[in-house]
Amino acid sequence: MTVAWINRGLAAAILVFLVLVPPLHVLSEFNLSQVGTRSLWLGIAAASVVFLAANGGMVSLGQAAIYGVAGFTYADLVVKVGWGHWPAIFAGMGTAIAFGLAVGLVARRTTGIYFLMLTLAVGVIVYYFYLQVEQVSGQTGLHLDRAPALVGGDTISHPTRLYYAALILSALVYVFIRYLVRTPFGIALQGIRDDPVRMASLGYNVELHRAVAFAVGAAIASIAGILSVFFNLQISPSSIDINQTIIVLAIAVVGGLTRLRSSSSTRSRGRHTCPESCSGRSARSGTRPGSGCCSCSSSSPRRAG
Amino acid sequence: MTWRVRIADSAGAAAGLLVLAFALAWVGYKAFGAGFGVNGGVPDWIRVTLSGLTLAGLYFVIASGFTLIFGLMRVVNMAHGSLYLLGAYAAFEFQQHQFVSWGWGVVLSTLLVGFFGAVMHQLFLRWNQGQELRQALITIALAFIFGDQMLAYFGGAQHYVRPPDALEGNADLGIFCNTGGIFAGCLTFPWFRFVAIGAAVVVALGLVVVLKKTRFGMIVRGGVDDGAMVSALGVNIQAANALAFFIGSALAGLGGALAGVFLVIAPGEDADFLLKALVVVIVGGMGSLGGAALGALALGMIETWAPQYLPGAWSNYSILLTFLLLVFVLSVRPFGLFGRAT
Repeated sequence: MTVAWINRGLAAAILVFLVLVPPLHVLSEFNLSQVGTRSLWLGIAAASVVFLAANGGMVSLGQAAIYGVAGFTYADLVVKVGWGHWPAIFAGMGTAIAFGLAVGLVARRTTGIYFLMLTLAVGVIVYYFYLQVEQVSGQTGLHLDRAPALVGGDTISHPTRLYYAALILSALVYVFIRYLVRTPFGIALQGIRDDPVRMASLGYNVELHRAVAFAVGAAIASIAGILSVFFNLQISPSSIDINQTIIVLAIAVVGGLTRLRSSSSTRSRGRHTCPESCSGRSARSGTRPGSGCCSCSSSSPRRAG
Repeated sequence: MTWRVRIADSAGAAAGLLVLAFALAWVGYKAFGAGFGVNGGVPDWIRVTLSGLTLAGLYFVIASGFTLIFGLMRVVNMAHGSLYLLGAYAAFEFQQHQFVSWGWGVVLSTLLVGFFGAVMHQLFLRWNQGQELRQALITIALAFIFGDQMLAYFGGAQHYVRPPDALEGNADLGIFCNTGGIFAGCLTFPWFRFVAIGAAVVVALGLVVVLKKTRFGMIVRGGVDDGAMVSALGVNIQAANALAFFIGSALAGLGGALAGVFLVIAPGEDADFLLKALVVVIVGGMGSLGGAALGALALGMIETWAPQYLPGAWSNYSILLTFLLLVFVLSVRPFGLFGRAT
């Protein structure tokens, strides 16, 4: 127990050291910006993927498209409509959340591998939408003169403030997710991930929980979208193309999506519903779903009547 | 909760059917509203519809391979678009170096891509059979790698495959003839696109025969329902899997080799055709051949009719119709039109 706490404290100290010291002229501004800030905003995007996968059992390939919606809306309102930065930022986030809720409602009954395919299709459609519609972007995309003064204005010449802003936002997102998974909503979501049939028979609205969870994921991703516009001072369809989708997914996978693999892969087969401890064990030992421990088959989790 | 869900479903279905009816009526009005003469909308309608059928046929060839692999093995092959692009580049390469005639080039590209897919399956997908998410992630990574390797070798420029001399030029349909002026002549349509439609029909018939009449087809149909049981009955399911992966990949390669003549071959097309295959099978239902045909038809028609018949200022937004198609189908049938929740 105490050893664990010492380890945690040590890890936290090292982390704080690593994130706070670099800006103090230890790292060049190039490294600070291109490595530090970029990892932070991509990390927020990946956090939305991990949040959905870990708590909802939904592996989304549409998060890049959703942060694209936030970024494009923000940049459009500033560049083409002439809004101020802050209203445009909140409008962009709002649009992304609304879009996320819409996608979540469309996908509310699709699970597992179908969900993966559907969100990928939505992501590519959003990419082609911004590529084709000249009124909102077109191939060249949108260019901002400067970001809001709060994050340093010209973030390419003066990246330090943006680094701290991204750092604070990353910490807030982390705390928010940690908080959310402990709320009744988060617990219900995890219950739905593990056994949708049981949750439905307990009276939970499974589909609505899934849709709202996806909207929450969109809200997290939209922060990354706004930060990416601050960071690049431009956004174009290539910012949300399939390569970017894969980069976000790769970050999430390296960070620990596979830990939850078993829950979503067995779920999508639908024939077996394993208890949590059981599926966790099968993931670690690498046994195939449907073999060995997962003998506890129940009715397939179709829509409960 | 049930009745509310039912009402929402019915409302979604009704809205979808209403939009479909309106779209068809609009296209009909645009096409036939100005009479059936030479100067009416009919010649354009025929030309656009034939183009749509060509695209639908191509989508069907590609998506049928995708859906075959999924149906038997539950592998979502996210590298399917890369296999398509590889087929197109292979046909181009055979033609560039004049190894073989065009026809043999198509055959060789198809077999090559099929072999490539089978090797991919043996190396990367056989040992983790049944772990769908892991396989999807692996194939995404492979698609990434293949895409970059093809970009490195073939460059970013657009390529085309020349059709054989016999299929070059346009077929004279002999109807709606104009007399005089620079537009004199009858309604024409490229010969090669008829070949593409014909190829799709041949593939469809061939797959139906294979699936319904052969032992392999029986194994596949059994495997779609219960792979473990088929295996327990003493069928070598691994061999059937390998063959199915070969055929599915070969179909992607065939699609690419044919599409190289009338569409561009360029980096990025792999993602584009992965999207088409995904949309087709999401709409039609994974593992269903009939669903793939219907989904391909819907997608092909939307993609050709929308730019033609939407009002000018809106034609950029035609990609949204693809999204609407997905929304309507999924709001009514979450696993596609012919899909089953397995």
